Amino acid sequence: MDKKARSKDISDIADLTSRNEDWKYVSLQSDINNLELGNNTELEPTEGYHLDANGTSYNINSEVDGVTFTDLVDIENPVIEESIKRPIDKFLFQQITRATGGFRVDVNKDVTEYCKVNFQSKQSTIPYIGVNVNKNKSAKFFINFGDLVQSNIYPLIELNLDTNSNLELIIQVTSSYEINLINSLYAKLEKDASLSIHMVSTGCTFSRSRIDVDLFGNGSNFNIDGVYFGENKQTHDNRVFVNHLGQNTTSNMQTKGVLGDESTSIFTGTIHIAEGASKTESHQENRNILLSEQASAQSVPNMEILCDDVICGHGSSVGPIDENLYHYVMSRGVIKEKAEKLLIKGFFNEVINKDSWNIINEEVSSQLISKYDNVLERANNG
Amino acid sequence: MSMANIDIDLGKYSLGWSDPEKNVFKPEKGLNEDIIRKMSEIKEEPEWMLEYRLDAYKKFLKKPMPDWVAKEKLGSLDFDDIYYYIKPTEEQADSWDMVPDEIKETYEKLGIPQAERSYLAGVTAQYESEVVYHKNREDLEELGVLFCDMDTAVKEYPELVKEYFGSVIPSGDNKFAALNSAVWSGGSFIYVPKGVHIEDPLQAYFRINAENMGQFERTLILVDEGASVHYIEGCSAPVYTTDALHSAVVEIVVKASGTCRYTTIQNWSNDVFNLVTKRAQAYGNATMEWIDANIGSSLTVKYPSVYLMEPGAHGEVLSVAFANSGQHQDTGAKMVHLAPDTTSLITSKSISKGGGRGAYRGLVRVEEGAETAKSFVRCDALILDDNSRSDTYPYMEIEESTAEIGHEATVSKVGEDQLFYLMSRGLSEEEATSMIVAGFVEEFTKTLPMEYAMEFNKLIEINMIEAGAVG
Repeated sequence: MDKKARSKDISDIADLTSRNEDWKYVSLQSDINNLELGNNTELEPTEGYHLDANGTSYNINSEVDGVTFTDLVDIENPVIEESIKRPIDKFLFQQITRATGGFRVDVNKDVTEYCKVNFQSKQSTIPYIGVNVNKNKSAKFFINFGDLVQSNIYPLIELNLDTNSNLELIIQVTSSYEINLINSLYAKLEKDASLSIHMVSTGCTFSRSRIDVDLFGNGSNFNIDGVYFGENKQTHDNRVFVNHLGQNTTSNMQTKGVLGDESTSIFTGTIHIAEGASKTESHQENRNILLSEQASAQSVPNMEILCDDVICGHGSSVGPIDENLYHYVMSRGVIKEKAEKLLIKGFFNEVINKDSWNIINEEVSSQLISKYDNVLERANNG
Repeated sequence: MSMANIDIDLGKYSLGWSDPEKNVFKPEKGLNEDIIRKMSEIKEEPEWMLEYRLDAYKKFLKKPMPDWVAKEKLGSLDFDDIYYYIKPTEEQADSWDMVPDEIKETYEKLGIPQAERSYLAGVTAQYESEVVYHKNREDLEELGVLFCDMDTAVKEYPELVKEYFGSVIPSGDNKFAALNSAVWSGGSFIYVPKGVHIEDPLQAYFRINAENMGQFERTLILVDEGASVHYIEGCSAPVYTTDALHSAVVEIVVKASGTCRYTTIQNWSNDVFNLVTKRAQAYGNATMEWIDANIGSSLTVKYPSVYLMEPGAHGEVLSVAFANSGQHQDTGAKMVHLAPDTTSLITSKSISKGGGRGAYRGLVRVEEGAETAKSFVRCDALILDDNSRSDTYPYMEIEESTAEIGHEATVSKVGEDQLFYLMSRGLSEEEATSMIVAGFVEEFTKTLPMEYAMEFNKLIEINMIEAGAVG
């Protein structure tokens, strides 16, 4: 874990407030500067998952060939020595210094099957997940924060992708409990490495993901796509910071969300292209549909470009469904309510119909639609 | 647009000026309540203005320095090493020889007459913190338009000034607005009565012309119902000064169905800190346009904003920034939608070169209840070499579900195919790049009166070819 952080003292780090740029728009709970943590003793095995984890301990249900797990307490070498640009704030500092349990995964062979990890917790924890993909190897991970996660959880994820390695990672947040999930993910990519992250966020009261990626090696590539759906008073907060440090690196970001009831979404991110990182190509897109009067969206897609030989662009939008699309669908005899549902499905399909989403496509699609139905029902009942 | 018929005979300004009080005030560096009291006394201001200044001074002391922009440069700013008020005097010696050669050469290249060059370089003009007006506009008086410097307005139109001064930008808005509110001097006051359309742009030149001299002008423009005005501030030729802080406040109120366009061409010499607060309120069906070009200064921090107060109001910002060696242009726009059916458009074009840093920083905020508000933000940046930097920080805060908000941005270098096309027709690489850059900012240039547009294009060319290699 981060050397920079471990050399610091907590008293030197200022308390976080929502004036802090990285926590802007968040109504911070008082405990964020002093996380209350507990100890989970139970660990039920769940079907269909290779590994169950509760933030304190974990249990392997079925081995995956080519993948080895090491308990946090036995880790000799950290997955990541230190991040290059990520600032260490008081929250991250606590995650790094107070992690309650977890594991390191080493990928030593090409693994084509998804390695599935299911989280469960009744007490607040900081689970650590370190993934190290060795040279020329590829792997797929699926991390689920479903209904077994019943208390605040603050995962700390570190990914190290060695030369020419490849990692696909799905992070799914669907817990229907009124809890906070605050995730910090850092990835470092060596030459020609490729990382794809797919994110689903429909659960928790406050679901936040901060992702920092250093595209360190020449030719490395990062993709992230995600969907979120807000209902009730949910907040979906996604922050993605991509640092293009090597040459010929590429990144692509696409996140789409629908906000109903009094929910809110926050998307901020920065594409940083360092001096000398020539031939970089980077795109960033964030689209939001607001379904109800009380819903809101904040979108701040930043760029910092210190190099001339780049192709870089971003787009972001917030609004209701386009009237022209309604017109198109309704002129074919579809009533308005159905038209809206179809259009929302189509809005998400642009992300979830990609091949890389095959494993969760159907499940996610039905989750999103049932969320939409809930919002609609509440709206109709006044 | 017809060519402005305002007579730019700058040599005449020194003739009509007399200053009976020139020995009364000995300027000193730094700021305290006494300086503010003396300044207000010399200006023969009413008591309320003195109170306003003193209150703002307290706010200035309390407000923290912004920590989100240009930390290093702002950190080097020494508030105690600045003259906050210098009474205009005729005693300044002509020191054309002291003007740096590169500035003289730029005047030469732009073909500016000698009289005007001396004026721009700050060596012959007679006013320092105060504004120079080009001529008595009798035609404007007939229409009932009030157009004078702010100090005169405080005395002659106290009711209007008292009602609106500080109403758009409160004195505690930010540290630099507080500073301006405490020590403001000069600036323009314009009132355009109901239904009056002013055909030609109104203009005023400002300059800083004493060493370590801060300039804190204050402008207030009131456009009454159905009226329209176009105001041009600044000039495209470089304005020479040393180590100065320029911190202006511009407040504009556009009443129902009124139109106001405010054009700025900022070309301070490359050591000025230009920290400006500009804000307008647009009422029902009114239109407010900020057209803002920043070429000079060491650091510019400026985000012209429009508060769209009533249904149908429309705001536009067209911002052009050229960040050359050693410069940081942190510019952008803010649009705050407070009422239904309001619309806004932000277009930003920035060019970074020779190690310069150009940043777009903007905010679109749609409050709940601003139904069917629409806003579109377009940011394009050109980076001309590997040492330069371009940043985009677009904030979008949307609380209304029927609002439609879009943002698109691109950053690129000059296209090789474009260069190839032009060079195959006999242009050098430098000429071709200049032409592409001029095309990149054409959206801005075409809003300018002819003589400004020509000078602006020439200036881009000089900026491109100076400081060595292009591309």
